[in-house]
Amino acid sequence: MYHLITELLLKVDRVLAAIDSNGKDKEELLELKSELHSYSGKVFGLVDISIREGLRQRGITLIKNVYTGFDTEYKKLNTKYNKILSAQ
Amino acid sequence: MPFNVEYKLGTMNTDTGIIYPINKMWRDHKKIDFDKIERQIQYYVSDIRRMKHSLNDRSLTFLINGLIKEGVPYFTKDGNINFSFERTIVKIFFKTDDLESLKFADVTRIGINLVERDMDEKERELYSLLKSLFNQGVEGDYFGERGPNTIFLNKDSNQLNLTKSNLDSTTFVNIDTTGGITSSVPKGGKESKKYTRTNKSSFTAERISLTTRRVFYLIGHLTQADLSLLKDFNDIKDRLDIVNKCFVTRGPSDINLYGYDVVLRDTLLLAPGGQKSLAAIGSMYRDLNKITLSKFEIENMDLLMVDKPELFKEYALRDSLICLIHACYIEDANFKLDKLSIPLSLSILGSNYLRKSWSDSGYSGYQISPDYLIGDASKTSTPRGLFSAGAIGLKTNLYIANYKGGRNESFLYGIDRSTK
Repeated sequence: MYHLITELLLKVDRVLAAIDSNGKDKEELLELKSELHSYSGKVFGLVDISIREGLRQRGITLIKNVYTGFDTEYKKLNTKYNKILSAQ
Repeated sequence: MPFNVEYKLGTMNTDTGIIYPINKMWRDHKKIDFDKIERQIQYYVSDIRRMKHSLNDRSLTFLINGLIKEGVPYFTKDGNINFSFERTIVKIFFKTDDLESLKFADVTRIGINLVERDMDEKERELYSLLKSLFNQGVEGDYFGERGPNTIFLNKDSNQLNLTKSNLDSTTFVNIDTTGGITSSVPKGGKESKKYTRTNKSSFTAERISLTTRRVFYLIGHLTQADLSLLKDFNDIKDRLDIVNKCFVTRGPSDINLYGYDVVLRDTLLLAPGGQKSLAAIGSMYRDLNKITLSKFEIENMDLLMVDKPELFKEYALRDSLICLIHACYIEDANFKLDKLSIPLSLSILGSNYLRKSWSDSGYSGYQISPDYLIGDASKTSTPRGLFSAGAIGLKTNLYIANYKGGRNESFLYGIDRSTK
């Protein structure tokens, strides 16, 4: 089933590409192009998520890590409390 | 950075989201030609990508090839190539006043403020590098006639010094004592989003989507002692996990401050057995020995702070530096095992090492099906389970019936290939 849907998506996108390269300025094709765009989006939504992953426009992910070594010094006041002296 | 991989059918565990390859038993089932289905879907995917995203894919390929050629350490996993860049210089912060009001959020804010400027500078350098790599790619300096989806992974590039630890870099342990911090709130404010997504056209001809994620690692030793001294400890303790009496965060972090996911790690869990003390960890690194104090000085730190303030400061800073450098070293080791982030414990690092060794030797693990685990006889000893597990499933019951007890534990932190 997903195989057929993906094939359908390919056909729609091919027609769109053909319109873009040959007749994008022709007014009579504008409506068809708009309909096909909408149709392409709908068909894309029907494709299995694993295939959709392969069709997505992908970008870069930047992970910015901050590393902090944290320590405190303290003075033991009694069995229950400490007094903090420094944090670094 | 993503790159195109061949489409493979798989099964997903809906609880964990992990995708497993199609079971060999199913693949050998002659009624369904999985290979043919995969080939056909791959053909459609490639064709659609060529029509819609060829320029985007071409730009990414130039960047990936360029970074590999530059010798940036990397590993590939799940259709992504992960690069690791140099860390910024270590900055220090030492506070002795107004400590009663010190909060967890303050520690995060101070840590971010200390390095934010350096990180922005590094980010600009990275974009500049990517731009030059893209231009080189366009000019065809070394990509030549390669197609837009070709990844340049020749043997020369694979000889990247992946085993070289960033710790060898002299900049790693350089400490900047001059850069003060401001009390200002980091960019974006306290409640800013942990992800930002922008479309960048500064380093490629095409607009490339750039998602930025920020992680703040707070690393301590015996964190239960340090964190309990913070003013808002009662407010944050519900969001922390306890492992071997240490406060840590497990899994995706529940704490988000100033746009950073806050991850807590304890070096006690990252130290080998018998070497758990901070002094033992420090002794593993050059010039990082814990400063020795007398018993009287340790028991009377308030007197030491007054009598010998420089010694007190050096002692205090060294402890936090040992935590920082050890955690970074462990992260580097984890990166070499194709994993990102600082692992929670050394056992997890050992597990990653084992899985990488299996993967490198072509062994995919002993479980045959993710749905029918060997050891879960209640599921495996069913018609569907036996079909999935094959001969092992048939023999497991006999094995279980004859198993009369016993206990065996093993911990693998490395493989000793020299002992025969």
